[in-house]
Amino acid sequence: MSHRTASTTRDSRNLGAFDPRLNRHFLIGLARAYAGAIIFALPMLMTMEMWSLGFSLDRLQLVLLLLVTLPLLVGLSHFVGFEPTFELKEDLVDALVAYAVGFSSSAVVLLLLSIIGESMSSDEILGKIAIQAVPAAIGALLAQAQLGQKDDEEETQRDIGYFGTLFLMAVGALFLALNLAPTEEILLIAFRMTPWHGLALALVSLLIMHGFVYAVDFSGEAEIPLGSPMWRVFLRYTVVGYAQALLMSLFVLWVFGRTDGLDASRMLVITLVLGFPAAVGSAAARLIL
Amino acid sequence: MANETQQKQTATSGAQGEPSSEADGAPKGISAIEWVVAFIGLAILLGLVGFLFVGAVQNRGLPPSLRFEVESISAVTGGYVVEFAVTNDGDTTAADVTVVGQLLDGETVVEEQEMTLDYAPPHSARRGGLFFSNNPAAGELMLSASGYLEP
Repeated sequence: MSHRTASTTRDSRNLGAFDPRLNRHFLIGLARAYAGAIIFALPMLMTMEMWSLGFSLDRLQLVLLLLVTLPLLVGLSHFVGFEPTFELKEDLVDALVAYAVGFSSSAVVLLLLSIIGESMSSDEILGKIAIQAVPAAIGALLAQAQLGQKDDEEETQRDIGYFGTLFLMAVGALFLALNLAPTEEILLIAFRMTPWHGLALALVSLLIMHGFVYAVDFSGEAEIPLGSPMWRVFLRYTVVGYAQALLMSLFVLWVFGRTDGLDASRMLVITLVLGFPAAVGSAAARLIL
Repeated sequence: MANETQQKQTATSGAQGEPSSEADGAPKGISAIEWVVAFIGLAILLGLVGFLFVGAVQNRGLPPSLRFEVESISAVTGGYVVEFAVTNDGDTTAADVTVVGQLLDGETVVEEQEMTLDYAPPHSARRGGLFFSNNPAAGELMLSASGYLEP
């Protein structure tokens, strides 16, 4: 949304930051950001486990989540944008704007739904807003970057390289992991599964991810050099991507306190369970972003 | 690289002094409002992180300590309802709290009713009610919590 800084032209009408067209362009982008924040965060805003995590989650883990999201947003702004240059200032501003949108939209919706109200302590209210602000901010940033560019510039996918692709896959995994990790169902599923189920789930996750990778390939996007041997693509994108999805799942489960008191084998199963939607999310992110 | 593109576009849009960004279709740069919003975002982020951090440091880890306050007693269909508020003075969240209300006449328990509270967050109040068939105002009413679950 904030495009790369123009070098000062010889044009005398360059008003810089106060250019009304620039401001209007930003406000339109801001409206898109609010839309994106609501779309992304609404399922979580209406999930009761997220509300109770708002007050029962360890405060330091919540701080960690908030702080880790900032570089995530900066990286996202860099990779999803259409300019190849890395301008930290623009990406940082985009990330902070996304945060502002995330906090405010979460606060308004929570207030509207009476999830936050007067009888609650400020600790509870701010905790609830903080935890919701993370997915909302991610949604805000994606909306600015994705929905905005399409009508301004031609839809050319720039080559973001291997690590750029992995980064986007991580964000896709994170998004689905955030949506599902707080729910009780994740625990219930993990408790019902046998190790054979876990193994089967891992294999199916890998298959689905790999299938998506080839769907991307067939649509003509130049993410994978054509003619790459399948096993190479499998190792570099699918296996690495799945490992990444599992790590994101484990991290989110830990932040939400879902790993407390579990032994290693249970923790593995619950990671595989969450890893399944996370893997699908990361594969979808490659397709969509 | 960026400079080259810029100069080419200025050339194509002519020398009339039109803003060069019109040739690209989208204005470039960070607008003033954008700076303001970004600053607000930073302020909120730092404020929130600071608040949570201070909260974490001040947390003494005290177990849940539930304090009851009867708000009203009214007559309803089937008997009476006692509306109360429970505040958790501790630092830990108590979940699935069993609230027991006893109507006492001296030493004897005339009536006992129970309800379960979903969550009692630290330093917050939650409200609930208990139904009695005897008039609670006619005797001594005692509200207490008998147990909880750590979420």
